[in-house]
Amino acid sequence: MVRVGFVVTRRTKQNILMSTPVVISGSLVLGLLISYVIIWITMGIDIISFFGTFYQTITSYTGLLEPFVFLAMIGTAITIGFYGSFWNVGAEGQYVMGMLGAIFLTMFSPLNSIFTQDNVLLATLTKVVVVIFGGVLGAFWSLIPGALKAYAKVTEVPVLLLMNYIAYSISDYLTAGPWKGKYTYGYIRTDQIPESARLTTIPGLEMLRYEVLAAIVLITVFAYVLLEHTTLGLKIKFLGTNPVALKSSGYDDKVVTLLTATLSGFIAGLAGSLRLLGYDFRLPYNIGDGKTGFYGYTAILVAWLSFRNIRYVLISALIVASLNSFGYRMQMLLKGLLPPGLSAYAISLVLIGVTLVVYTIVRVLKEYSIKLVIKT
Amino acid sequence: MSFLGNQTVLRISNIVKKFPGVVALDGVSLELYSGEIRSLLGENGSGKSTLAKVIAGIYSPDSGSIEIEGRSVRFTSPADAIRYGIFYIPQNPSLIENLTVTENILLVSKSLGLLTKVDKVREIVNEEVSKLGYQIDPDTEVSRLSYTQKQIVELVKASLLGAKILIVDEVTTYLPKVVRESFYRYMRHMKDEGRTIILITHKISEAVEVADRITILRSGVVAKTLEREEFDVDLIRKLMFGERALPTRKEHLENYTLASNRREKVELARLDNIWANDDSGNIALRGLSLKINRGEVLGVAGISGNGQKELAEVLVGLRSIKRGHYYLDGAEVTNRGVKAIRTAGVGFIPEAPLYYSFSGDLSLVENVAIASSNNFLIRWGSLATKVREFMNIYGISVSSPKALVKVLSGGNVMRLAIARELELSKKMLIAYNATRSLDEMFSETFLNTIRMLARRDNIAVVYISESLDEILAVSDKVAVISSGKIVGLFERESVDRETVEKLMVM
Repeated sequence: MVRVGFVVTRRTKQNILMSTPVVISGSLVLGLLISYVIIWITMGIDIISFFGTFYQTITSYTGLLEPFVFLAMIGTAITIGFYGSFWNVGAEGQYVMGMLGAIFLTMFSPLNSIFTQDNVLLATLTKVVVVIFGGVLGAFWSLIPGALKAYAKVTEVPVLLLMNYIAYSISDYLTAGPWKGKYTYGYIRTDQIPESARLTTIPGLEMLRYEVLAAIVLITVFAYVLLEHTTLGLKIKFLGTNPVALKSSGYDDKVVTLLTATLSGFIAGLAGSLRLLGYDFRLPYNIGDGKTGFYGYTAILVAWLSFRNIRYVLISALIVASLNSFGYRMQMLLKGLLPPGLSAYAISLVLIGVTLVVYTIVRVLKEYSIKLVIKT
Repeated sequence: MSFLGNQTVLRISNIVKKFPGVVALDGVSLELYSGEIRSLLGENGSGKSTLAKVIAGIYSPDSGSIEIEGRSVRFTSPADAIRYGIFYIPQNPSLIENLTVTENILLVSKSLGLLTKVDKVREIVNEEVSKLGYQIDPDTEVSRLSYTQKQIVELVKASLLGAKILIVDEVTTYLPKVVRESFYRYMRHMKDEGRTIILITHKISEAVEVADRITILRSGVVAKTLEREEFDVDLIRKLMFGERALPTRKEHLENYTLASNRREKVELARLDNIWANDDSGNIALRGLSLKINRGEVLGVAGISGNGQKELAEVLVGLRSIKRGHYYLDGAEVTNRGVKAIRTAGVGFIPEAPLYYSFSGDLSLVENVAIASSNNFLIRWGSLATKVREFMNIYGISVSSPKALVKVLSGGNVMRLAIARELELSKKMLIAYNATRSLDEMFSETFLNTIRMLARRDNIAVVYISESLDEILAVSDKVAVISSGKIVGLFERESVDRETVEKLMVM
């Protein structure tokens, strides 16, 4: 009888070909090639326009910047959660809560009057408060599943997912009800926030705002220092790998779970309030219908691609952002070829999905060598 | 001796196995014969367990070959090895906890196409277990069995399923003498049927007592294989440890003993009528009371599963107290959590550091930092220096402080736990089966250190162990635990082994 088996051994020597940057970029190239084959078979498009479009995507940095910064921020939020085994698939909801917080403070709270005055300094300070308030709401949104996990042992993943839909519904209720705008040309949506509440565009980088740039730098540095240099970060790592060891070192695993959830949700919420103040200016109705860009979900892929390593979040965000934008550009290229019902987002998902599958396989090969053996 | 004695059943040649930062096996060649008990001896990190796992198909070697009865084989999983009749009984029982004894055996037997009838299995289990002089209900859930009982089930399972080669990894180390002897009897019985038993141990006495041949491993290579006639404890010790095999420093210890006797006994901690449950919610401690004095080693003797684990966890604050009071250093710490106890200066060396103390997926330095870094920012530089010191002093063989704890051998993990926790033991040290995976030399050093801590630094030590020999060697006072209660308390001068053993099984 002939049987086939696999001998799996952990690699002891690190091969230069298997260093993390090579693995990430190699997976990208391989993923693109495979995606091309899929798209070529289904829609028949020549390789030159495919890679030509990809080249355009990655060279037009202005178009990439916007998805990149948001994916990087939310990706960082989710990665912090992943370190503590808090599988934050609810970043989308926390992101929406951040938007709600921002529009509430700027339009429907006493702070609104500040933005109608002509005091630039005061308006700037208030903007900081607004952005942070968005973070606080995001943190609150994440803390609910976090507390259920810590104190009632409820698995966080389904709760987090459902919280996304609750956030969508709250947003839609407010947009169609108490917050419904007066100057919307008949659309159901809120009015726009005052000019003075909006973030400042960086000249020459139309898709970037000074405040967003500052936030991404601060968040990246914060996350790096937190996870690599602080006791809290170490506690989060122990929570994620052996909570009993955390407990027997004298720390409360429940408290660390809450802190992990809070930090993760806070950063996702910040992204939401920055988004509203810098780009959207208003809340649309049916927000769950792709109007968030699904950044909260797409960023899960960023966290996964960086594989729970904070150092690779930025590069992963860049890759996912490129693929995401590439998908949207492909839509134009595929005009007429795209089967009905298939959106640009679907193309993006094909690209991202294939790349991640390739990446996951290569990662296993990076850690382990696998040999096929035939036994007689 | 059996006439089958000379037939080679297993030949391994030039096995190399590396882990990141560690070369565990560096070209091991070995021949095993049918109908023998072969002991694999070696100090911590010598490669015994790795070799066993390679033979059992758990690890794939980087290079080298394995032949069974002259046929070259290549295992890709433990199931492959089982098909060739190779069974591995690990140090930590690997039965499925929420299945019954019968179900656990059926699980494997069905896959082999043997014994698929529940009643038949139940009957045979009863029969085999009673051969060992035990009673285990085959319908008990495994989680309710003690360590010894689980290992008996493993042994019976392997025997029932036709093991040709049985690997027993440090299983017998802590068993009470009576149980150990019935284990040996069973092994000899298996050997007489022409099976091969590989007994892995770091206890020389055990190997000499039961083995037909001893193979000594040192730093991942075979130092020598000795025939029964060649057994000589001093020679074996030299082969295991090389030049470091020095006689124990008896005088040293006695000095400390003298010093302590002059000192007055001051109470540091007290357990008052403590009640606590075990993991499955059954009562494990039933009104246990204990006084713990400064500068004294209090040994807690007992047969595994009588509440020792829960006692250790109560002392460090990991297990909640249902009833009773725990005082430490003048304050009540009942259910005040681990932090209150740890910050009072309490170290904890548990039986399974990878479960209690460390995260295998993090580095040595991170695992030291979690217990000793109190500032907001961690000072990695000075911690790395500290870990390097630990590596030198405690002989932890690994390439760097940044290596992951999971690449360490069992004994090296324990050494790291000892290194870290001794430092934290400013007032009290709780040790629970701390020597289970330590080799003879290091155990001795460790026991000396404990006594020194008590004598010189006036630290209270609670030494919970299933090894009565160790307890008698190290303790100033011996408490005997049985069914979750202290059933006897003796001063060092008045302790008598027989009385203690009787109380243990009470």
